[in-house]
Amino acid sequence: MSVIIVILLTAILVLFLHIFEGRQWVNPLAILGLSLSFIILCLENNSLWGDYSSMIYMTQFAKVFTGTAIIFTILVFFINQSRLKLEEDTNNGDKLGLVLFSLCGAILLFTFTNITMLFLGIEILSIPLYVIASSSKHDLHSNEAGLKYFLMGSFATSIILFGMALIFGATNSLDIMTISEYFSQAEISKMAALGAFFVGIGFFFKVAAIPFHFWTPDVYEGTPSIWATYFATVVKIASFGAFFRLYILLGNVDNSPLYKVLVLIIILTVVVGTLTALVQENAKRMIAYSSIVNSGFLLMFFLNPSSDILSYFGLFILGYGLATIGIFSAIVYLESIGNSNGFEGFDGLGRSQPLFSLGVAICLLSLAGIPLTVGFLGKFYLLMSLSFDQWWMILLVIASSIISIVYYFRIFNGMYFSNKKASAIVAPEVVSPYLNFVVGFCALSLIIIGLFPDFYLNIFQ
Amino acid sequence: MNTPSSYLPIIIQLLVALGFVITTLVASHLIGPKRKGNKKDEAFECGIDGVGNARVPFSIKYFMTAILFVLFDVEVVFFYPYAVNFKEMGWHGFAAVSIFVGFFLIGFAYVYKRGALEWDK
Repeated sequence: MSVIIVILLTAILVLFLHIFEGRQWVNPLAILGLSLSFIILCLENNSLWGDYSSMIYMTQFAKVFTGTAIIFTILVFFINQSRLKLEEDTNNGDKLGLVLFSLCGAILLFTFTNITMLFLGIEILSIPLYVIASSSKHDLHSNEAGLKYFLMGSFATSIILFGMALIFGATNSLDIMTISEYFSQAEISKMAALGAFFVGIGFFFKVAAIPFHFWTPDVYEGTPSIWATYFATVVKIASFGAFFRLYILLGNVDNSPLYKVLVLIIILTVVVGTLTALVQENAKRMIAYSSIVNSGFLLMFFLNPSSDILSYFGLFILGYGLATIGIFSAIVYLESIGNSNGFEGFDGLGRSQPLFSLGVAICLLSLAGIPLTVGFLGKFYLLMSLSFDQWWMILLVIASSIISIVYYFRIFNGMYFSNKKASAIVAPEVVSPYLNFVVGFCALSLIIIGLFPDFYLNIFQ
Repeated sequence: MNTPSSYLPIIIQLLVALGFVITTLVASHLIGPKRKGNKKDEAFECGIDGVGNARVPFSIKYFMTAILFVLFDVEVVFFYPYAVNFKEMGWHGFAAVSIFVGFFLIGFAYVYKRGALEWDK
């Protein structure tokens, strides 16, 4: 609980520091507050927060996911710091405040034990993001992204709410333990099954599984890149954390109505996502489709839920998040020097910024699943978790990973094998130290955790 | 109580309401006299001639005022249930409500300082 309070107070302080002549201290204060909340999270013992009607409970799973979300947000704020050196932003405090508020919602999604808290968490997470998506006021794409995200997001939330109402009607309880007991019976009522189905559909919207993905590329492309990083990582983790917990509770039966839908959606997501990513001409849209494919992989963990799966699931999502942040910081750098978002923007980056592009390259390799990185281990454990009669799923993962190398390689190709002269394309401007730090941090942790995964996996025990 | 048949009265009510609306609309369309003309089809505005377009952009200040009104209005509404349960909830309730009001005051100070209430700026 103190984690949420610290983040909330940081958000309020940030808002006020912004209006009381302390604009240059806003970003450092936000990073400081988040670091403090991370330390508190590590020191705090797992406890039932009884004072709040036992509606939130910090499990070890929730703790790791909360920590991951906080670290990702800190990295996003570091990327933001690089932008502030270049341009005056009169609304920076508002944006940081909104992101911090939405982080509180994300933490509720990891810790809820009552579906009212789940609904509140989704809303607290989403509503600030609708504003953030359209935060570039005079850019039409950003406005479009905000409106699309708002319409799609509120639509999905209302479907989830409808499902919750049906579940409440069938079980007469909002407490997830009672609901989970009800769902573990051999025979469940049609109303409860329909409710679980609707909640599932709403979450497929939130995690951008095909055929509910159409908003994702437009939103990622239109939103200012820095905040798109937050969308692609923290929001993804939050929706998946909540969905995974809920699925284990509601869908852990063989005759679950969700199971067949899930299998169908996984196949669609991975196949269509991979093929669509191949034909993208814009790096941000490509990353959006790559995030859709990764959603498909993450949904595969749902097929055989067990206690070990939790840590593998965490490892996969950590690898995906770190790599995505690394690539997005390259996009932010290219935008800051006026390059387009197309793949040609990366031309010659390998020669003009060798160290920086090495870090980006490691992130790309991790997303593609090359050994020695977390991305490889994530896919390895994913394949381990599938059983032999799901061999066609295993084929799907391997085929998709091989094809994905093609589209990740287009960035790689631009950086290292472009014929154009480096000086002609990429202005030899220095990369901001903050961006260097973020890419370095992402690349190093991808390799270090990729070599010694036990350290991370053991936290879940 | 949970069988579909217990919803029957609601469905009948719905059908009656819909039926009434549709019947009167269709009947008045069929029975009523029709005269058309430029003057006749004009929007009726208390006998005064219509001027200009109805879709003119409003100043954003009106929306700001409306949204802020809703926010603080809801805050005041929360006081009613608290006033009813004032004694039973004791100091714990008082602390909770103080925190709630405190957050609103912080929000108010923020809104004020950001200049959302400055009408002629």
